Amino acid sequence: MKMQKSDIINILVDRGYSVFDLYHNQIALAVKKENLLNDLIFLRSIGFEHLSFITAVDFIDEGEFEVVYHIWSYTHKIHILVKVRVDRNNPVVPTVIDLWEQSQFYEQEVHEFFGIKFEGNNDLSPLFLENWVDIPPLRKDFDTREFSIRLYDAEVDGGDR
Amino acid sequence: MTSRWDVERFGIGPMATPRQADVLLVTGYVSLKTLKRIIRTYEQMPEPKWVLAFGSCTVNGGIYWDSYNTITNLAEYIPVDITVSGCMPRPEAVMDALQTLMKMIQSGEAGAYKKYKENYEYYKANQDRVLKKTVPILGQTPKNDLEGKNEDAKE
Repeated sequence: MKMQKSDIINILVDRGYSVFDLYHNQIALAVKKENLLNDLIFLRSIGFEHLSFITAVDFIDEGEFEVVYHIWSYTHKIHILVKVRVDRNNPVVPTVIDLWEQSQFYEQEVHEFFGIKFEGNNDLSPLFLENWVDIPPLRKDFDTREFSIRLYDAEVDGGDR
Repeated sequence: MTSRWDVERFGIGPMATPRQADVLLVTGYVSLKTLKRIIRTYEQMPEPKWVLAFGSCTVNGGIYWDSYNTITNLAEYIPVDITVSGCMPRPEAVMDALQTLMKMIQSGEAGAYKKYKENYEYYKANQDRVLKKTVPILGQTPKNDLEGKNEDAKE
């Protein structure tokens, strides 16, 4: 049965989640790493059956990564962002391949570009980059400008005109 | 180059494979994976052969100049005869460049493929530097990956 966004927010608030109302069909949810799998299973049980994407944000000043799970419900037409914070020095989150098979590729990608480990996922081999030996390139402490200047002889602002 | 521009009137036409082609157009930004394929394609082409670098991205990186995965100057890796700057260049600019290239071939100016043989070490060194790098460019080791390896070793 289709639920309104306000009803879903009420359910989530009653269960003690911190909920952020973002757009007319989008809400965000901050969860703890320890409860991540339980929370995702709960969301799936109330109709949020589709995992669209996994991504990450590097909060370098706070020393934390934020892993974001984009979850969509075909019944409620609501998009939930489940956000979980992990320590930047030991970025490990549990894998969700047992819940959603397609997360295999998303987890490989997040591992490749942020260096976040997904505990329980045995294949975190690189998908896109070939022969990458530096730190993961989408981390905030990776200086892509300096990298390009050193490796590709890039000239700042296109060089002399 | 679609029928609207009718490049066939200048004697220009697309070929099915680089082994039958005279000119290689590199149209757009070149990532490391693309570069690998471009080199392979270029080396398959029979001589005489020419390269047209198309768009700002192949000249100085364009808007991708500070990307970690796109090269900035194609001419460092394979010899380029003629470049068309612009983002994107108009079809007229491409046709003009091809006609200029024809004139350069007539006058003997365009022969960059000879440079590739003469300076093969230079080009190969540049190619290997980006494609077969073994040490971190910024000097930082990937910390977590190393930790992971150590853990595995302990187990």
